[in-house]
Amino acid sequence: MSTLPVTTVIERAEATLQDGRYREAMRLCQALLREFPKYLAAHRLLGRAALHAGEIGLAEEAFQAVRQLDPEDREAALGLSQIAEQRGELETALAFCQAVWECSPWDRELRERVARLAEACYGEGQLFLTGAALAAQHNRGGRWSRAANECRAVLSQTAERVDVQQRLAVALWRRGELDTAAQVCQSVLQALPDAVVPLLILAQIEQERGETHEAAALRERACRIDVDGRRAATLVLAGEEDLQASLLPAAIPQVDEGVLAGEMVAAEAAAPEFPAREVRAPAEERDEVLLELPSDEELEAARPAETGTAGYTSLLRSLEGEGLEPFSPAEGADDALTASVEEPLLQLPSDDEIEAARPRGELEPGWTGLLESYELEGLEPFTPEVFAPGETVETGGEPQQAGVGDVVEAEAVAAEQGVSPASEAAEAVGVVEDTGSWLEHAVIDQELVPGAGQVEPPAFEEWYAEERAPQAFEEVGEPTPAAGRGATDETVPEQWVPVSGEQPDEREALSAAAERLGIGPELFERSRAVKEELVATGRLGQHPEEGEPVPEAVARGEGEPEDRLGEARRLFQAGRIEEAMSCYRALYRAGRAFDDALIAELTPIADAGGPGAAEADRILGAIYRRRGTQALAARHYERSLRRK
Amino acid sequence: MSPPLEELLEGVVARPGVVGAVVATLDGLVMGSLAMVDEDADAVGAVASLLARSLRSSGESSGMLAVSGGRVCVAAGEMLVVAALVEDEVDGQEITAMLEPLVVEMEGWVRPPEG
Repeated sequence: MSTLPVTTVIERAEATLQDGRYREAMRLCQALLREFPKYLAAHRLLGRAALHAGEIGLAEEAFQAVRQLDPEDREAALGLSQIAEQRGELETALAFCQAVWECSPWDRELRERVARLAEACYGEGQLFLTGAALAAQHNRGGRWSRAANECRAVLSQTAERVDVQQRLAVALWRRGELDTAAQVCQSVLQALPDAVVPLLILAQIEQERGETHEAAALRERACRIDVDGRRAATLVLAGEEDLQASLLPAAIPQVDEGVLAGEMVAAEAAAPEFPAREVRAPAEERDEVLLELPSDEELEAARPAETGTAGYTSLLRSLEGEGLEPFSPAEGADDALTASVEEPLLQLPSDDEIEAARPRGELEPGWTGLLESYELEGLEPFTPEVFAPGETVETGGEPQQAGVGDVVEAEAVAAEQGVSPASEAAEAVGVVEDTGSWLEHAVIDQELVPGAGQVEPPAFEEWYAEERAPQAFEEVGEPTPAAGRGATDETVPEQWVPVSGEQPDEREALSAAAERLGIGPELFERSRAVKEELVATGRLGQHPEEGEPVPEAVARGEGEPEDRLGEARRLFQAGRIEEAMSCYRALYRAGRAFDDALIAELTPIADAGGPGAAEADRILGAIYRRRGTQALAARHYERSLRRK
Repeated sequence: MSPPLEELLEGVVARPGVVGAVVATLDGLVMGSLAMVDEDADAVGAVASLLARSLRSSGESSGMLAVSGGRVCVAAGEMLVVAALVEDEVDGQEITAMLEPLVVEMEGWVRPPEG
């Protein structure tokens, strides 16, 4: 009997799932799990397939197993959120969704889902970027010090959040603090003995310490979970071939095709394939599934003791500010993979906790960390006082409701001192790591990201502070940046206007800092390319000085619209398409007064699809966009691009 | 509902020699950008923030910084900072002067209503 790599089987199961043959996908996963009981990808896929097949209990069990193997797993948390939402447990759905959003705060889809669930639970509110989410953001950008600081601040409030511990372990490992990283990994493994990321990191640390046997044993444990190395691959950055070779499995295990064939035969004998079913089943089907759900009394009986750890706070506020513990590491970790559904893997929050976590009645001004334009939200983005150094903002919240809103307050106070609120919080609990600025929001370029075991270069603000006050920087005790890092050999033009109070040192420091952040010829080139594309697609009007000459009829400016349009029409009819379109564009730029006339003129041209149609579509798109009719604008832009 | 800040930046970027523009908070959080990829906007926002603080500490509200490849023109308000990437051959002073009323207008859009 031949064998197949497990990756092939997983791919086959995924394809089967995509085809809507959920039961078959489930059986493939179950066959794999019989051979590799801790196979992370198989558990995850089983959960997805079971969810689609309406096997809610099995899906939940599978997703919970995934969370024991990787507490930061996106699909597992999302799946559990979906399950809870189907059951009408919106707060639980929100809790899981928030957990996964905190792992990927840049994910618009997750953010919108969190906002939707939160609104369903508590009405309109604001989405605050929590400390855990900030840590994920910093980790993504390679800002390991900041990530570690944020994680520590979170853990100082809720020490047993294993997902944050895991994030901290990654940050510390990347920062080169191997001993501390190893301690954090051990802490995670005490709670979740099969958590694959700490196993991988620990293996790497032991390898670097020369403990090759220990490293091999840890790696073997990790390989039993991350059988195909997909999770390990996420820890490897570009260019880290050595690390990749070390972390990824040496070979992909094979599975006997007979095992799979036996599964399929058994499957066919057991029952015909279920028809494809939506995750959100129709009401009658849901009723059937929900029959087995526990009653209110059973749920009440299952409520954890007050002393037990609680579930995620299900709110739009910082989890760590609530003093709640999202995971229950003390229980169920060992037998998580075989846990029966009777064992409540998700701890329900108590009424007091829910009440304490309820959002404030009124919206408070002051945004903290949304990752895109605030105006899309229709909410008030700023309170000037927030940014006034030395001033505080009245949050009106209880101390235990502190979220990032309070961080903003702390930032305002600390702005003049250049002290990170997260650092202050960490200092208060004795885990201070002064790494300087909290102001840096830029994504650090890939080349600045140090490899495992390397020392992270100081952050922008730290480096800047060093340039301005080297003595003070040394006192902080941060590692000195590599010679020449951040400085440039290129001659910086002596243009710094008008900042009268600037000193040459500061000017050079700022220029070099800009360079270090990647502001240079390549960035300008990228921007030029983007601008050209915007102009070419009609999304950005060219200034007359750099565009084509404005036709005289338009340039005069005093003529009646009919005259100007008449000129454009005459040119078009004469076959001078370019000139005519140039004339129409100029009319578009002249203001909204001509919009209606332009629409009347250009729509037939665009609809005809002849010469000038693409340009007419672009101008129409621009007009509709200016009017706020996004659907029509998109339609014309799309047609314009197709014609091009 | 505020208008997209990017629209307010269009007038800047449409000018010859201006290759991109960013509006950010004074602590560097990018609120909008035009003709820039997100990562670049983050970087420019961070530098603009630092420039703005430096300018404000010396009583100025606008200025520009020469960098390799061009210049960063900045105008700082009470809450926001607007930055434009400008080619070397362009009159940066003119662009900077253009940014000053723009940042005031933008702050008008984002400032919470009084009362």
